[in-house]
Amino acid sequence: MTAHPTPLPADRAAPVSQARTVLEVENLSLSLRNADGLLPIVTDVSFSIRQGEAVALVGESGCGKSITASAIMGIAPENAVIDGTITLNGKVISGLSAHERRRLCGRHMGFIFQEPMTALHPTLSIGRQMTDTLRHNLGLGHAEATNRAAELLDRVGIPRARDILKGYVHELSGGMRQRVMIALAISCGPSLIIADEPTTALDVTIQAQVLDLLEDMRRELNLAMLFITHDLEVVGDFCEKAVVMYAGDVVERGRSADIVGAPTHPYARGLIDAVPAHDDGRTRLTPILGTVPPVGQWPEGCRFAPRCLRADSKCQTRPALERHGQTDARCWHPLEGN
Amino acid sequence: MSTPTVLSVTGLSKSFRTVKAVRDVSFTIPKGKTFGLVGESGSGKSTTARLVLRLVEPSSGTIRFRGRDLAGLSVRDLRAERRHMQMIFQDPFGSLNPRMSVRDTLVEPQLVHGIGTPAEQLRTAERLLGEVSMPRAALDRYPHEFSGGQRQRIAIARALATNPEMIVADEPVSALDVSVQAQVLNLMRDLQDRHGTTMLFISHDLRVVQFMCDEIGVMYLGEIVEQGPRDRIYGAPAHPYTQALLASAPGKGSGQRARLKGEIPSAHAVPSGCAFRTRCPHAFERCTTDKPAMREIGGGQKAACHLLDGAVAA
Repeated sequence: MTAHPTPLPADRAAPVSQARTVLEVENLSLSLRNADGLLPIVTDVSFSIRQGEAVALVGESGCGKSITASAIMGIAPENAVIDGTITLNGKVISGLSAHERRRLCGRHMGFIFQEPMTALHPTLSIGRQMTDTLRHNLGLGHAEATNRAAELLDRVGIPRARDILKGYVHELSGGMRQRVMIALAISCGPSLIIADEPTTALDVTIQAQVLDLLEDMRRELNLAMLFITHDLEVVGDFCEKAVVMYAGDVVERGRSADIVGAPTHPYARGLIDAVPAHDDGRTRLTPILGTVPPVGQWPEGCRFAPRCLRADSKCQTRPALERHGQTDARCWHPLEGN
Repeated sequence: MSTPTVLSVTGLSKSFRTVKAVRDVSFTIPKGKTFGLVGESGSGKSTTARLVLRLVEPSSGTIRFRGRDLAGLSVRDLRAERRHMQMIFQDPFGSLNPRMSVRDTLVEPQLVHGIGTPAEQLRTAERLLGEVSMPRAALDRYPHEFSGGQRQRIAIARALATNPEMIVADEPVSALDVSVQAQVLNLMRDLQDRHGTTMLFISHDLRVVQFMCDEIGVMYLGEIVEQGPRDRIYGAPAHPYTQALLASAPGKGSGQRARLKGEIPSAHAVPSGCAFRTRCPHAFERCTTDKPAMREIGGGQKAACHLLDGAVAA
């Protein structure tokens, strides 16, 4: 393990064993205000991430995983009405104004998005984007910031860092762009990284490289990481814990190994069965029947019930997120784990 | 030799100015079978599909479809031949005409190819909807009223409207969520079983290709580097690129992840010798100078790699 090139912020020096909680999300609900009133998007989401831990937020499109992340990042849409508490490093950050939030957590949170081409600025040089961030958040001078930026690029495996600093995003490949995003995300010594489908747009060999890099960074810098993905196989490889969302609800929560190996919620089971596995020689897949109901048309009670083979009249009432076997599941008829 | 060959591609190449997009690709597909082309972006798999359909004119090589050389056909004959060769694209939002009702979408291909009377065409449209498990009520609706999975079902029904001999499917489920992906893949296999359709299936997703295909060609930088029956490719991959591709796929535990260095080079500047050598963990001197030839390994599997020379000699 190589030493960090510049001194770490004081709170980073703590040994891994103490593993304090970095992010705590409690009963987060989010609705969008529109002409017809409030449209619920996410209901009652709770989870926490410790230092050095990766937690996956998993689900299909429209389940609310990305908007949950945007609420944590403080970039939820303007018409969003947010309930619940978000705590970062012991400070409540939900309910703060944008300005206060930026002051409080600008350097403590790093973001990595799916499409670096749109997340990075197209007409500012890579160096300018990085030094602006460093100067603003850490108060570095120009020369110092440039040096630091070059070190960071070097560290995320970008060759010829000094030349790349003068270049622009469009000159880089998808994998290299994502490395720049990672360099930016870790540039100010954050305690939390939020990565929204960071490898979805990449080819499989590049995906493996970027996942390795993220994992190295996490271990080296003892980062807490929120990893948003639709791919349960990536979750099993990469994250200690997982939160599975469906139609704005957390339906299962627990250790990734338990959820991927023996899920208790029928939806999580369905997600696993729907993927063709590498070597099982099946001639038919087991799809989940029907489609995800659109926002605003969620059923009363259990939102998965209309697609669930185990559903009965009891499922008309909303189940609570409760412990079943090894994991927490929101289900009246949980599957037996092994 | 028992099943007739539907598609036979030999030495197919395509250059766009200095870019060698597809280089010397050859494969055959027997009737009722699925041939999969798998590879990363820039590997030339989609261009190969477009060449086979003659949506793009090949620079060289032959495409024999149902015993006729497509390259030699006049525009008029080619159009007639397309009746037997339909396609399904990745993006169900872009490939359906937003101003055409589902009824028109399904009737149009029949109209173009002069199949049936108007009444028969309509009956076929209704039957096709049933085949892809869509309600009859969908006939009078428009693409924007459907989800991605439903749109892809409509695109599949449209592809079937002329009762084609072959379907070319380019990343047909890549834009869909996994639960919906499984529905569409099952549907495609069912329809293939029912109609005996031959299929050229293109995907970057190794899991999907393994599920769908009988025979697989692995493409890298415009070339097929390894080819063979599914179980051989997945069970005993011979080319270092195939090995790396399979090992890079998620779900194997992070410790097992292969670390293939670098990225796919530009098709403007294809490396000399073996195109994969710049990323290959086993590359040696000869790989820079000599281009490896495709070698039979046995069991219908073949690969282009100098490392296999010893294996063949032994």
